[in-house]
Amino acid sequence: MSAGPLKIGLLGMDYRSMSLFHSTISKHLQDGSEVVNVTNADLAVFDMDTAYVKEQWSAFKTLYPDAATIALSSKHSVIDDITCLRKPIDFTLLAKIINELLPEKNIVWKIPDDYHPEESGSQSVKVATSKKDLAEQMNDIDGNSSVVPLRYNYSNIESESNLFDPMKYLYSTLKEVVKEAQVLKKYRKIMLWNQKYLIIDPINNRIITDMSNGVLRSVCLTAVNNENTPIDVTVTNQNKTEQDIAKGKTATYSINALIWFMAILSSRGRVPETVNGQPFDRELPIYLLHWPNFTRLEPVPHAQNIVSLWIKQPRSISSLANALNIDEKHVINLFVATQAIGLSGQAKRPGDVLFTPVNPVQHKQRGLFSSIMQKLQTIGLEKSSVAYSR
Amino acid sequence: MSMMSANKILFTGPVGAGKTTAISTISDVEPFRTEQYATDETKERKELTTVAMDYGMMRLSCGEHIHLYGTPGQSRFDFMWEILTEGGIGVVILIDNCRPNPLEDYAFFVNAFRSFIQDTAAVVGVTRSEYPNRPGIEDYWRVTNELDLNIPIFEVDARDRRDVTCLIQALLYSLDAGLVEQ
Repeated sequence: MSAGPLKIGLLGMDYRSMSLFHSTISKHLQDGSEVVNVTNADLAVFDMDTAYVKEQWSAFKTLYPDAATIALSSKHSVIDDITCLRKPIDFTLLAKIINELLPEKNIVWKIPDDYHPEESGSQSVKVATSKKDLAEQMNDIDGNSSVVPLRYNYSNIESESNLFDPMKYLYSTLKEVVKEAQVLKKYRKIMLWNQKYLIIDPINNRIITDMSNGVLRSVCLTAVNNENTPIDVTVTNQNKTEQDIAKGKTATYSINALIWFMAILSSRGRVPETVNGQPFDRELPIYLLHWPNFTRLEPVPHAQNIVSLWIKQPRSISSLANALNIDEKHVINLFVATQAIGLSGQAKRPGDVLFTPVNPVQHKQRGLFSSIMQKLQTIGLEKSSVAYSR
Repeated sequence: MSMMSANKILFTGPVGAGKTTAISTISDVEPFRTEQYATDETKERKELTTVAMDYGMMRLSCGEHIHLYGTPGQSRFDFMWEILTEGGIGVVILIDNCRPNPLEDYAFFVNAFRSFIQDTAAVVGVTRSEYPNRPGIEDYWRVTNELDLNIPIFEVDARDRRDVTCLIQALLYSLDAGLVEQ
């Protein structure tokens, strides 16, 4: 007999975290779940990282001492006498706890056998599962309740050569000028060394330049945003642009395609020191808003592979690389390129680190999909650089 | 040919979006088409229109075949859509960016195949995207957010093999992120 959807009460979470928690639980439950008021819930979940939730917990437990409750915390294993499930949450552990708290519900989970949350680096904590005694199994819990970093260990030695400052490269200047041009809907012209130019046409979403491919690559590889390189930004218009085009050899690119290309060349697999002017912490998760428009962008090795995992949930660079068994530099290149066109950034919201990232689950038809991929390679997909000016 | 054929990829979208062309681009056999002369408003756009489905096929080195089915574009043939989705791997939605309201078309087809997409995967190819004063890729992202989805959306030329194969690759990676790149 169906147990009906699991009623969950959530306290102390922002809207996004609640939505993520509910959708993650629901998709793995045969009967789904619904979010209700904590007083009507089968299971009440409290996020103890939020101010005053500890007091709300205490009040709730006074009124409903036998209620099934779970406390979450990213900082502590134990708060006063409250044992906490550490964030990011290991989903399989959460499911086990819910089963132990609610045996009478006969909850049926839909978790694939090969569903493996990755190791987070934080201490795993056994949580008291008795409805009445939350402090059960204290002997198994590490008594150190100090903050345990949720971060991943570096696999590479961090040295200056692994870092670069995006602000020193032309693509950062181009990004800012493009933004201004798009807001004002006016043409802009960037001159380098009073010789070479980039014209931004926001109306037709294009950039026109008289730099050859070789010169453009050289400019991207060099930190040109310095006092030795005169870079002038002037106003221009469509008439002047057409005159410039008529004068000599020019190349035309879509705005995003050129910025993407320049960002990849400037990064060369190095981690940016800053993102949007803020210090970048490579150990923290990065988010991706949308699949990039890959058919119109310079190819990045393993790009679609990375995106298919990354789009599901924010993850750190090393987490993505390890889950897919690929070199970190490809993830870094893709991050720098997507960030340059506004599709990604450092994840800072609580909901972004709510659950431990899950490694990809093998599809039952993986063998067939691999054969299709092999076939697609023979249909004429070129591995070399795609013409990004269309 | 059974509608229950496994290993199939569906191509759908409004009239003239490039479904028949996209199938032709990657099919190993001359696609089988069921077309008639258009009699409704479609005739303003093209002479012939698909009335049942298009069929193409990819032969794989392992001996399997991938069946490629194109749905008719007019909504009065929507009864065919559910039949064609049975046993499918996923769906490629092609949208003609030059139609009067391509964003509405996009939302319509996503909603029409919603339950199939939830069980499998979808990718979107926007054709004829090079013309000015038409919706940009950012507009399709906005609609995607409103639809509470996050599926690959690429600008494509249905005649271009690289573009169509890119769509199929994205579909497969959406189904299995751990798939190893060849």
